[in-house]
Amino acid sequence: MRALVLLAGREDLPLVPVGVSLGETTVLSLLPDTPEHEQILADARGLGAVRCVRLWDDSLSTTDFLGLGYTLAAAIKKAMGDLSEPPTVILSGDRGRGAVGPTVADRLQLPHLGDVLSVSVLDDRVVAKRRAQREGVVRLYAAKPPMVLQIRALAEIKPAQTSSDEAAGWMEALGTEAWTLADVGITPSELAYRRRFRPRTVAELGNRTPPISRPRIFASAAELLVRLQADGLVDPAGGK
Amino acid sequence: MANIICVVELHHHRVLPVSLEVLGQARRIATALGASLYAVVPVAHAPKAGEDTFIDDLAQHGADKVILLTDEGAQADGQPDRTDTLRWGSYGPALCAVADALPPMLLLVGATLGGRDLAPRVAARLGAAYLSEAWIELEGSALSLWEGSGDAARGLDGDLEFPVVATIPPGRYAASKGDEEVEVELVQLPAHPADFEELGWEADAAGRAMVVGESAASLAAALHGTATMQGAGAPALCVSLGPSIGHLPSEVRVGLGDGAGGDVHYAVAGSIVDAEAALRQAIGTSAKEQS
Repeated sequence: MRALVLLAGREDLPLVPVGVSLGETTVLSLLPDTPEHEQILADARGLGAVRCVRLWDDSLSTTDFLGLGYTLAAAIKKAMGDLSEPPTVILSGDRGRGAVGPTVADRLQLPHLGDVLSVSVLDDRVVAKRRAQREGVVRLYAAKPPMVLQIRALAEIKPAQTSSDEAAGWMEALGTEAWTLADVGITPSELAYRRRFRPRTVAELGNRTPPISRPRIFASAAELLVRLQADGLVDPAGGK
Repeated sequence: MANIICVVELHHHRVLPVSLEVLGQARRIATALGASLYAVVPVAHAPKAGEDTFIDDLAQHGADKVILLTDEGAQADGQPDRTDTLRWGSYGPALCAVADALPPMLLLVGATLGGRDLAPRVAARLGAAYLSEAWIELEGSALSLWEGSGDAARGLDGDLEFPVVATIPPGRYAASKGDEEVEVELVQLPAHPADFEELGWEADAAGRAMVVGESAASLAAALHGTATMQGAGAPALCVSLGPSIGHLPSEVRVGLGDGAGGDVHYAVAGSIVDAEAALRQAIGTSAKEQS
């Protein structure tokens, strides 16, 4: 078994030891060539990744989740070949939207599971724990790889950072494979098509006023409890 | 005529409040734009007598038509409420088939655990734009679509000539009113192999504390089991209400009225101290303060 970690930034580094616990781990990132990003990849090596691939093109900064998913899927095919042999587990983080992992899975026609809390191996199957919507339980799912798992709760894992000297050592010894879109058979114009599907920032939108979230206020905790019970999140007996 | 599809989740044969809220906002938009509103309900089996009151609820809250996606072969042993495992692998392809038959301008789902799993891949399959924890608003006769809040918000611009898939957080919109009757269509999922075997469940010990946090950040930390509160006075606000209360996943963030940040879904009015005491009293469990 082997793992491929989709590394979108430093916040995703806790995915690397999860991958290493499954097998030989490759890291794939869509990041520009900057010292900061090289440091992140060096940290991934320090956590046990045996191979780091960084792919970048400026068109990636303006495409949407689907453009990113297409690109990652193409890069995964090139980097890993047959995902069934050896069986490959692709790990992605949540990053608030949770869109890229499922998109990669769809492009590669793999099963995916979101909001995964932990991963283990049982014989030749991967067992993923996923919080249930209700009733205070964790559900257990098992399947043979290949698969995509989107890991939630990365904050629970605190990977150590490598020092800059260690990072430089890693980079000198192993290096990062730097790819372009051409390396994975995608053109910038293909990604540009998805530009109009990408939500734009307030600055990009100019004169439009963004909404501001406000919580729904309940007059009392008892009213809140009724709502949480209707949501199926709290025992109707009120815990008594 | 344009179509709007709302994916509806049930809990013990009752519609989740967030689904009624999503349906309510969709009703207002459908009325303004002259669109048809479809409520698509993944259910384990066709409802028996006494189990179908949710259909009346959906009619009374604005659905033009209810489509029941039934999966008779997927009922797992020991799982009384199959929709608890709503996710892409259970109902996603069937939902996409409905969307192919009724091409939607909007496909909306509550930002629940199941909705978060389902929606991005449906968006990918449809080639749609995707918004997480979205705002679906009307500005005049045009849609105004955002995700996020304030300066961190991001919006879709211009005339939308493509479908949009969005998750909507609980508490954002009010439910709506509709007719007393609704057309119902039953769609039986074709036989499909399970992508994951469901092995069962175990108690979620880490997630069973109900926590009231001073801020969304402290609340999120506590909900993830790293209950290290930051800031003066914060530890006193982190209240564990015991293992019998139930599980409060981070999909729903709860805060206090005066201190709740913008990314909190529900809050209790009043001062912090009063709210904490009231919450303890309402749940009726001896609370234990965490430090």
